[in-house]
Amino acid sequence: MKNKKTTAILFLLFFTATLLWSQTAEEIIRKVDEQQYFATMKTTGSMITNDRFGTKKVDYISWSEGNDNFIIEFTSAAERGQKILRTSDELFLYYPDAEEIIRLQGAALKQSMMGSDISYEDMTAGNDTLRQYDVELKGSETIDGKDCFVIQMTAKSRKVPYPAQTLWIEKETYVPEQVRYFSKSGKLLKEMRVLEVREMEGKVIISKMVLEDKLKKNSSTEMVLDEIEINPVLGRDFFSLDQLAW
Amino acid sequence: MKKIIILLLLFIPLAALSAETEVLSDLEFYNTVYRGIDEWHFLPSGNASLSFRSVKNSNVQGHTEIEFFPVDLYGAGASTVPALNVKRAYVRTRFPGFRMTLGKSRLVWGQGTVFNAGDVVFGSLNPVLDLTQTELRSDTAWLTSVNVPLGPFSFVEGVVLPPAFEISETGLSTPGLDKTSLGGRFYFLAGGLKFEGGYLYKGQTKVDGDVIGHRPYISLQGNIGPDWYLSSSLAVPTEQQKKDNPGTPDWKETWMLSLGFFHMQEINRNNTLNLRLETLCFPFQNWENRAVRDTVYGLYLYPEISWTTGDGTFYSVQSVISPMDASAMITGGAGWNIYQGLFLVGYATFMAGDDTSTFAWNRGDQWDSSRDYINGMSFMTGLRYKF
Repeated sequence: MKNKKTTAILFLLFFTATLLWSQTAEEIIRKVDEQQYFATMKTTGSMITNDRFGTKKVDYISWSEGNDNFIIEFTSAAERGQKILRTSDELFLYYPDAEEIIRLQGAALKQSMMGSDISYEDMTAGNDTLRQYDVELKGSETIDGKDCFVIQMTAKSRKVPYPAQTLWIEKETYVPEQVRYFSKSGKLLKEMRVLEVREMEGKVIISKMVLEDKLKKNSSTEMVLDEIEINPVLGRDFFSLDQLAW
Repeated sequence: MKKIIILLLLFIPLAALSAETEVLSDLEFYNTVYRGIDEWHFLPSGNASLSFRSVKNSNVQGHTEIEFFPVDLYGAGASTVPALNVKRAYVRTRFPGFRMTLGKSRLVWGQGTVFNAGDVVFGSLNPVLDLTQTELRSDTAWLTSVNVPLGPFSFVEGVVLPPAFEISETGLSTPGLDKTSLGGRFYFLAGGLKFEGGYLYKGQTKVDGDVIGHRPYISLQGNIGPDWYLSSSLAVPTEQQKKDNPGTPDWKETWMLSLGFFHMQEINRNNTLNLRLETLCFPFQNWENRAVRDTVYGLYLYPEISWTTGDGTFYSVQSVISPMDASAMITGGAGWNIYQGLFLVGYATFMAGDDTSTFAWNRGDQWDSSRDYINGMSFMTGLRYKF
């Protein structure tokens, strides 16, 4: 009887493991994207940059819609009122002192935002990963005691910010616990680690993460979300020049 | 007990202010060494401003900004008149379908950092400007503007600028209706380009180098590797304006074009190289050196190179060049964002040109003490702090 029970448990474990392994890299990435997708979202948070001279903290409020539309407004004193509007096709900056809207194109998208280790593209490098990358499941590894899938992603075109990425995705929550970003030559550029998550509306949201620029010594940027509002009503044409200049 | 009550009464309004208003201080203090007409000088210089903004409301905003004049900052003010400048004071409100701004504010039409032929509201034309400033063009004026969004990236905007008081020998006088400025513009994106255009009847100049008359303009922006922007405008004076102001230039002389290129290039993922080149062209102005000070020439250039590193330092070289009289102002700068909001900065400015040129190494007998301070070069170091 005992043997039968043990066999059943082992079979169940094996069956579960087989099911997990049977997931393709595409399915895993699709689930990761689903976890991070919200029709609309409002967050209040900070970007904390650490370098050899100490800490600089930039506070912000951001609004996003789906994968593409995003507005961030900086609220800390040195940058107060500066805003960025990013849509799938456009990038606009607003400077309140000059009362001026500036449209940027081209290489400007790759630039660092407010001196952080995060670029404008990073902020909206969205949840349509499979359109941008070829993905491959490399196996499983344990990160900080969490069982993770290891996924290798290779860019399909030069239009994405990073030519290659390796992701460690927690099997239970589909949260990317750790991501490494590589150059085309395979050089490690940045590393992201998740420090805290929050469960909301049946999804697990990353509420604190650290991004280290591996090309700089002792430089990292922490992104902390203090307040998260899921599916707020933003109104028609919220991601517009009218809202940017308000 | 009585003292405590008085103190409480004093602090209660301040508590209410902080709850409803965001207060921001912007300080820029420099030690400046410069060459004058006959000797070197060492002076403190800089600027300080206090800004009060209403706490974010989805329908109403208020903003007041007060600037202190540099001479008052170091206690050298000789005038008994308070030397404060209200740079901004406006209320902005949103109604269904449109947004309105009323008060003293800024409105940017066209595009350009130094030269913007589309800026018919204020006039970004004067080549003589201080390149060490964080905002190179920051003029404000009393205005009422109404902005009507037509889509996410398109709008029409109307503006009316009442005339400023005129100071005459008899005192302040109120100008007539013909000194009012009134106009509108459209803005939209199509085929990867930004299209902007409009018209302003300008009854009164707002800044040096500005011109009055009927002022149509167009402005385009796109990307061909670098971002580019092109603006053009002209001023057609009315018969009355010609009669009232005999020196008013003909429309041909006011036709102007500005063309700019801007490119940001990331270097080694940590550093950014910014390249900007702007040109201002007056096709019917002077294309030869006239050896007369204040001549308006046919062409001016503004090249700028800046290098920003990942550890918060920047280096820049900016210049305004007047090719027709072979003169230039060159400003080299460096800065370091040491702590949050704090920059240590240093600038060196050099002029190159004859005594009658737009920029002169030595003004000689062309020196005008009412407007000339620096003769050939200046050096400044200081701190900028926003809190």
